[in-house]
Amino acid sequence: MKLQLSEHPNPITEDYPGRAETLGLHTGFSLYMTRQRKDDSLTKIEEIFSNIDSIGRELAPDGDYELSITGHSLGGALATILSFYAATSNIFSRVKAIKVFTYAAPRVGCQRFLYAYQHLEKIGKLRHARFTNTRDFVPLVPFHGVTRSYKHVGMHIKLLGTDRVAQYWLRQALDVTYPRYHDGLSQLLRIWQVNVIRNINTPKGYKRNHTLTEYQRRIRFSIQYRSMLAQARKYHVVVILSILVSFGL
Amino acid sequence: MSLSSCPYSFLSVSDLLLDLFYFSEGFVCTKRSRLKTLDEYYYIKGACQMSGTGELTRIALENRAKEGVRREARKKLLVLLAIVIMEAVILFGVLSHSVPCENYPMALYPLLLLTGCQEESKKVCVLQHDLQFDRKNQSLAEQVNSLLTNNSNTTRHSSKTKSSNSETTKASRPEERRSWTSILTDWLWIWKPHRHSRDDVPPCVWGRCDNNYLPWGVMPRSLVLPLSIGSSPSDNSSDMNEDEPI
Repeated sequence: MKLQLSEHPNPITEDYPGRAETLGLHTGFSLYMTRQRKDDSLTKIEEIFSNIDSIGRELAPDGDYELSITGHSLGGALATILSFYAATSNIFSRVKAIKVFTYAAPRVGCQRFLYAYQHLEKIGKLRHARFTNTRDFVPLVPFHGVTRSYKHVGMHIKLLGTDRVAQYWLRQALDVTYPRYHDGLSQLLRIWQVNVIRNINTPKGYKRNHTLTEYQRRIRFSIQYRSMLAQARKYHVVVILSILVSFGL
Repeated sequence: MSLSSCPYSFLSVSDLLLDLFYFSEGFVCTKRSRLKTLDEYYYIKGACQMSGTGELTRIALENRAKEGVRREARKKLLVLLAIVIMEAVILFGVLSHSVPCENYPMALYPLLLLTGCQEESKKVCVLQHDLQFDRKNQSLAEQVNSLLTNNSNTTRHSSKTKSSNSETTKASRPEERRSWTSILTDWLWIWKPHRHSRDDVPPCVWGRCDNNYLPWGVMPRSLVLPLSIGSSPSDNSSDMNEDEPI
């Protein structure tokens, strides 16, 4: 079954909280990345790594180039797995921090994978920005559970939209969350945040919210709105100052 | 919250005004509303081991304090919610098992179909109207049972297990029939027409069969009916008092 978690050996050798010998990864995604080819017995990951390294060495012969990985939807899931193995690989040992930007990426691994991923983030090998639109179906699957199930990784940036409600929340702050706590209450709250009922939409709406164009539109809006907000506040202060001066204070 | 980190701290011509503007909703330090990098977010969320500037540290500490307060509030809310659900379950359980229909609380009548009330009293109340129908059914059932027993006697097998099985089925049949009628009456007693004959058993209104109390605390005996034209009050009183022997 492609929806099952398949066990893969943990490439991280050092100890960290919650370490396990094997990591559970989505069978479909992980098979695509780790299955060996029949002709040259290379996996897809090794192929991509050799190509990246050859290009990177042309730019920086010492190997201290910057590496960013990105993907949308299925590509986001594959980018997550690829970045995890890249951060643990010796090929990219000179690379400072691998940056990952995923859009509408589904869940790829279990709780043990999350611990391993967070360890790499903690030691500065990985930086992952995971963008999701509200009412997009793909980031909600495969479904989240409490005990043995799929977990999201990385810094989650929720893009609310461009309507009045979204503007109100955007005025407060960008909706950025990170799964730092792993107790039962936090798990329950995360389940509530990302469940299907809360993100219910029409099939057409799901399709529209999943497109990369919609992601681009929302990101652009968020950036412009926050920038304009900062500018407006600056002018607000100038106006207050001028009023104070005019009153002779 | 330190004011020195704010670029507009030169506003401090008067401490009062500064406080007023700084802590008002309209004025927020612009450094707080600027877009942050991914590394800064990692630092603020406490997800990496790196040193940050004073401003970032302040934001991170503020965020953690806020998060802690929210977590505590959510915990309390969840505990309260769990208590409410538990109490509702207990209430429904008590209502459905130990409260007879006659004593069902008035305020909970809308929940009657959801909770139910004690079976016996309701069954007695409601089945009184279908007594004749039940008697017919019972006679039919008895006939069927007698036929079945005759058949089982004639075609009894040698094994004891089968005979015991047939006995149990025979024993359970009347119970099943009874439970089936009770289930039916549970759902249909509201729509059943009542007989309004004086000699008949008074109708049950929402499980109340004693005719002393109607819902919302109305007593039929205390009802003052309009006097009919040309009749004396003594005649009316004798007409209204149904319980007195004629």
